[in-house]
Amino acid sequence: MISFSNAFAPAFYASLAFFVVGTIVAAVALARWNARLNWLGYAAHAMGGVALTALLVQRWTATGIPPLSGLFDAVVVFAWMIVLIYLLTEAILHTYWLGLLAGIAQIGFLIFAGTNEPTSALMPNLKSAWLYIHVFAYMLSYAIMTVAFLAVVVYYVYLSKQGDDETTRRYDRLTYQLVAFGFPFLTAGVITGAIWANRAWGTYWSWDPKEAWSLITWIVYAVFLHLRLWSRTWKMPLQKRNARLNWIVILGFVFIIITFFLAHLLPTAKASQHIYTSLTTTRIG
Amino acid sequence: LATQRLRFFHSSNPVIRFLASVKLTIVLLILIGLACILGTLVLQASGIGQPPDKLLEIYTQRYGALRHRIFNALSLYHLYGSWWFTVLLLFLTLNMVVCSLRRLRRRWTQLGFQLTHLSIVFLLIGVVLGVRRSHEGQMQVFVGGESNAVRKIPELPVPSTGAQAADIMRRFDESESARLIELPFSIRLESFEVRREKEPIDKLFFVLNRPDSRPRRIDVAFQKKITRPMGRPLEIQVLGTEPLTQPTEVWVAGTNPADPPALKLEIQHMGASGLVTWFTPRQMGGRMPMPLSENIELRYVLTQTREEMQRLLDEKELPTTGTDRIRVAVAGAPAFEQPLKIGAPRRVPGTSVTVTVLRFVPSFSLDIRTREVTVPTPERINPAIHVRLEDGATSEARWVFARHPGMVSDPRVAAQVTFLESEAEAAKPTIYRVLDSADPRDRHVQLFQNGKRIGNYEGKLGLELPIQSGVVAKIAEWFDHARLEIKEMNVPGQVAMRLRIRNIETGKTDEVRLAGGREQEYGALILAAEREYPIEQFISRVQVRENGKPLFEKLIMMNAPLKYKGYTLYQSGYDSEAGDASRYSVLAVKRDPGVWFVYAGFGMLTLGLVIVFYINPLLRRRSGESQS
Repeated sequence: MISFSNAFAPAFYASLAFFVVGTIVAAVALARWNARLNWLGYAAHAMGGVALTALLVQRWTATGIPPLSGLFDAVVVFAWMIVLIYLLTEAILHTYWLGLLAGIAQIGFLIFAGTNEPTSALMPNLKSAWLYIHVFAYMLSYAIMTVAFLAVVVYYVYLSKQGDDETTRRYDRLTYQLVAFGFPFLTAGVITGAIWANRAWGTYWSWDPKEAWSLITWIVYAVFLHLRLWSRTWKMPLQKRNARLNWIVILGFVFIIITFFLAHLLPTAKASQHIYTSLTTTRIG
Repeated sequence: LATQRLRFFHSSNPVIRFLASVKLTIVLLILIGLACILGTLVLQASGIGQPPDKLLEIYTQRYGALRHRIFNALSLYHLYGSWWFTVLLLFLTLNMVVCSLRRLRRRWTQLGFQLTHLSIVFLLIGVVLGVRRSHEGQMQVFVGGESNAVRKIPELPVPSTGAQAADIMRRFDESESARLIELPFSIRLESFEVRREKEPIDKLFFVLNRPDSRPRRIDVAFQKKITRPMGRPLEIQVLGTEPLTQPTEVWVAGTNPADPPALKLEIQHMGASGLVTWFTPRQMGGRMPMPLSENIELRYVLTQTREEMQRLLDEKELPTTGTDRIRVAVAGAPAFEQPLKIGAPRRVPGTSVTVTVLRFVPSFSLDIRTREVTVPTPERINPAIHVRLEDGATSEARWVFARHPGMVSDPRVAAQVTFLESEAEAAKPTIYRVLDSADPRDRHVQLFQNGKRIGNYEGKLGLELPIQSGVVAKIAEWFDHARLEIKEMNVPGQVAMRLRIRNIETGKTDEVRLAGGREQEYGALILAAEREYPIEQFISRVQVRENGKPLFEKLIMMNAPLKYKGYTLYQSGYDSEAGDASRYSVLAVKRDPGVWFVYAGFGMLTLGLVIVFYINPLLRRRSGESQS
């Protein structure tokens, strides 16, 4: 249940409304395979992106710190980056499907963000420029990996039935390029986190559950990149080979969700540095 | 020769081919990933942070005795440091090295690949060096104190049986001295400060009156309306916030001969006036710490006769007798005072309040990890008593500090408890003793240093009592009689909040005023107004000393450690019970020569990935374009 009625509510609900409209229009556009409607949905999503940008600017001016601290800000940035990457990908590829899927993801993430109190101040250990680089790199890579996941979903739900090699090759390349583009940012997220931890606590890696899961997520994408290389030697039809690789992208997305949203539920989470329950600071990513 | 060696790696030897294969990379990555998952599902001993016997209890309770033994035999409780996890990492490194050498060619397009894969080798060297050669531990330094002793925090093995637990503990106790490292320099803590933001954050706290309900806190600067809090059919509108005032006793000059005399002191820093403080013989048994100084005490003695005055004036040394006393003040009854005695509940005469002294500690300190009160030294550094107060159904246990009498957090029983130290015990290095008599011309101030009198001064207006360099306490006024008056005063750090609460179902509307942190019930909801000045920084001002000589000063803060002689000192903890008044700081000390390999690995990995995934595809595209 979302109970969000504060000073940031107007921009928040405006972006949510745009995304809902964009998603519905995109769904209709898809059903009718109508280019004009697809662009209308695209425009609505773009407006949602503008509203989300306004929300982030408002957060920044209200708190005086970049809106990258606390779960609310992090998830809003996550949604914002998904919009950006969706807008870019759709402009190039005209998938018709991404408008619906990215829209659903954005709405889901925004509703989740709305259930969290926006942070108003930072604990001293969070006061570091590394925090912003760390969270930014992670959110960007997560958004890219989310769109890669959506591309896989598009392929499975719709395109794989057509069965022509050209589509398969196109989506395989799209998925690979997205993961390859996101992987350095994912790595940067891990590394900046380690550097920051070393500055703040003198330990670059302490195996706290969130760290462990972020490493696991990193490993999944590393496996994907290596497996794709190796799979060139496999003697099997393109579709079958592609299906195996796609499962890893899906697994990677599941692990991102676990790392980002669910790591605090683990039995080992009590000792985590990434979970804050003080008055001023809620959980951060 | 070099090419010959490389040819070895290019050979078709099946072992070499296996070690270089991407298949092995994938298998190893999957195994390491699975191990990491396991490590987040099984409670890690380092995360629990408990002694071995406690670990045994926790683990057997959680997993059962048999599974506990199996888990322990597989090192699942120190999984990330276990031999088999290390073997996996070593194999991954070997895989990287062989694979890199096998594919080594003098081509620019190889650069990214080589950097990426060799970075893993650097990371592992760094980690191994870190494990074998690093020192880490904690040092606790008191304000004004100096230390070079670092206590290592060892990772103890998890016992499978009670006997093993006892054995581990015994060996741990025997290695006490081995766990102390001495730094080649020492740290003097000049001051410790919990710096807070100037602007407070006001929050509305609410929770259902049920034990399983998780409270929420709403920042009222951003949110003024809460609809259906915790699912209740209510709409809360925050009408406004205002400073919380409460009736407070303040000293005012009076004329009643029954009232005691009082001294008004003005603390001046470089000639500029600041704090004003009142001091009377009735206050805290006529003793109080000098504002701004821990090492100076003020005493006020009201003499009855000229002979008594002369006797005190002639005293060359402070008498060293007396006992600790406890004093309880409850509104509407005379203050009650008696010698300190542990146990034995005592009703405060004329009231319904019962007081019991539970515990006395000569030096109060709080263990950061276990949150237990510890006694770091038998000397009286911060004497405190733990007192239980009961008033009807209300009861609380609170710590009362002899030298920080104002420090009470969250009192529930309306009684003021003071812990009066015996003169002998309380003796601070410097004591100003104020001697007063019925005659305003016969007033004196004496200065005692370590119990010995070093000065007698006439108690005139304008007399300046040095506190520290540049700071003096000036006698601003001397009143023959002063009394306590009750005035509405702002309570620092507290806020009052006005709310309008409307029941959505019945339309009934109420106005509610929340005063400070005091909880109020409304329907099934518990409400409170909270004001918090967020912590901006923890600041330890330290002086680094070598061979007893000061070298330099430095502020150690979160995210701003001190680096010296290969050691890095981080702000790590403080007396969280005393909060902002903490008298010590805990510094984490690290020395890890491996960290530079790790950083080099980070740099190579980043650069390598950028080349592999961003630069190489660009170059390939360009060359593809030029070919076509």
